[in-house]
Amino acid sequence: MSTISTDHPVSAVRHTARVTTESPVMRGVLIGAALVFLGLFLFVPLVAVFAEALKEGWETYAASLVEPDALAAIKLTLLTAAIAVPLNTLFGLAASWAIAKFQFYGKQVLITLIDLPFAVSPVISGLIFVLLFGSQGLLGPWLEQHDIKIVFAVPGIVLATLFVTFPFVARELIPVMEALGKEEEEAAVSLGASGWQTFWKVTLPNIKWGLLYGVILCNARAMGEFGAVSVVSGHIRGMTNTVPLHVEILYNEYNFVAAFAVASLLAILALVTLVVKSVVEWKTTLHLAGGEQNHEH
Amino acid sequence: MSIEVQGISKAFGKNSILRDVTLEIPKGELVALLGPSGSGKTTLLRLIAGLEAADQGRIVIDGKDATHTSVQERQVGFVFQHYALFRHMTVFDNIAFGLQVRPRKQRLGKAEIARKVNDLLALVQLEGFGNRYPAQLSGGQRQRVALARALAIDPKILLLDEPFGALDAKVRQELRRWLRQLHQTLEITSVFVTHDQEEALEVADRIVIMNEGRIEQIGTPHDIYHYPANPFVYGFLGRANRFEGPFDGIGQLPAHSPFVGYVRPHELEVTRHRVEKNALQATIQHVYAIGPIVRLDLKRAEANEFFEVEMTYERYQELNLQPHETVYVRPRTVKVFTGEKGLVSAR
Repeated sequence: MSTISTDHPVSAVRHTARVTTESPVMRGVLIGAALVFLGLFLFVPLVAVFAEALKEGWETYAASLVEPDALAAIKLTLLTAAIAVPLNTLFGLAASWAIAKFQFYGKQVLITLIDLPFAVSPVISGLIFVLLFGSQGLLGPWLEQHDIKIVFAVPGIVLATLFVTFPFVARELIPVMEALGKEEEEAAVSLGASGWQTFWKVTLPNIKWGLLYGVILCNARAMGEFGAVSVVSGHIRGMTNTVPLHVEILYNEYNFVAAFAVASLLAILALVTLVVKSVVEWKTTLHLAGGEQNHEH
Repeated sequence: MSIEVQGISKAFGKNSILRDVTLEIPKGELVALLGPSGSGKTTLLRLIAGLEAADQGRIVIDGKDATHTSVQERQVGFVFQHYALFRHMTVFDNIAFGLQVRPRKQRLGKAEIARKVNDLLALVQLEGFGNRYPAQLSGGQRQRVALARALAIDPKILLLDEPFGALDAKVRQELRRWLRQLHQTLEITSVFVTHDQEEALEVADRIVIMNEGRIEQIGTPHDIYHYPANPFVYGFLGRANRFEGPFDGIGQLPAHSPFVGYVRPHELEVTRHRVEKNALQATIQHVYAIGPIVRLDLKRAEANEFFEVEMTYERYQELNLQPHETVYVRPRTVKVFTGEKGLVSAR
């Protein structure tokens, strides 16, 4: 009797498995196609970057990285990211908090506005800042009078990067916060916790993986941004060149080894980002699974 | 501590949730806010806690106006419908939370906090669960952690939002009894929201019946059940048959007087023959004969009115009733309400 009852579901499963699965040949073709595509468009270029960078040996590679203009570019990129990422983290926290926990007029408009930098071409975003702050621009004369330089200077680069990267954290956090609801915060407040205590002890631990994920993506984009920064930078070597812009300049000068050496830094950044991202994603799924269990009755 | 709600109104946008609600809860009572969903009972509870702000009216706690004091200052224990336990903290840390967020000067020492948390764990019968996470607990256990967490801050009043709503029937029964006992030990003024009349009747000292943002009746379970103020309360507390006059089927009233009367299904007596001349004639539509109580669906003769009768299984067998048979029905008591004035006549 027991053998019959256990046998039955198994055969049923086998039956459905046969129905919903492709033939082995088809499977092989599909997986193969995906792998070939990945290899051609991701793996080969990645290998090519490092191969080209190391073509003339480690010494030339190292020399092109510590060269003053390259160092200046790296410094500027780090500075830009160091300003843009924390600011956008704060902004993302505030925006997602407001959207997830409060009802107000214009909420939908705010969500749309947050997505705007994704919808607009980065070049256009850069141009907007030139039109606003450039010498021919709206605020140009006033800025010149007060001797403030924004376009073709570091502030312009930071502004453009801020604009381009500002959806990342907010986009990541809005669904997380909406899923959490506000009951835990209300519980904390009813137990006497202040606003700050509630944030640090209750909200932040619950959103930390989502937040970290958003910050990583934001950082990757801040360091790798080309279009918008290119428009506002002015390409002054050693002054307003970020790493991506420096790569372009070197490449245009047929200095391939140096160009690829600097580019390899961005490639490494991408690889590190991917690894951290997968770890965080894995952690997030674990956390969410725990959360779901928590809401099961 | 006593709670006074004076003329409270609250609207969300254009939706009026509470309309001029006035209520007094004496010290130490266990009060149920009972009503259908959307009646405003949860909003009223959140207003007392300070989680919502009233548009109009005052909340007085322990004789002091608390209308504009913050949630933190009100020092109320609030137990949320879905527990709202901090999922990243252990049971111990959950219960200790309210003690640990106090300003440094008022904060207890580590050992004292640990002692208090352990006492509370014992009180809610969860000794040895301190190191677990909420996800590792059953629904009933989470509910008790939520209660212990709320009690940790020595609340002046305890507010519970649908405390048993998310639990299965058996656990619910146990917890109900347990909450009743706990209230007797702690003697803390408590208000709980429920939509389950049985729960309210069984647990509460007093019941506040709410409907569409207004209070329909306040009273002890006995009073509410036996002397309902209006048809809504009557209908909400149990199954009800509505008879509309004029007709002379119900003996206690003058013949042909226009009225609306209400009778509970078990208050109708069924006979196979006309014993009294003013008994109602009806045909049996359907019989539900499962369990100790048998329910009959009846259709009144010469009227398109349907009503329900309940009787014991023994009585059902004795009568040997069959579907589509004609029977005679006589109410033992009838409740009659006129307009807003409430109870007019009942036997």
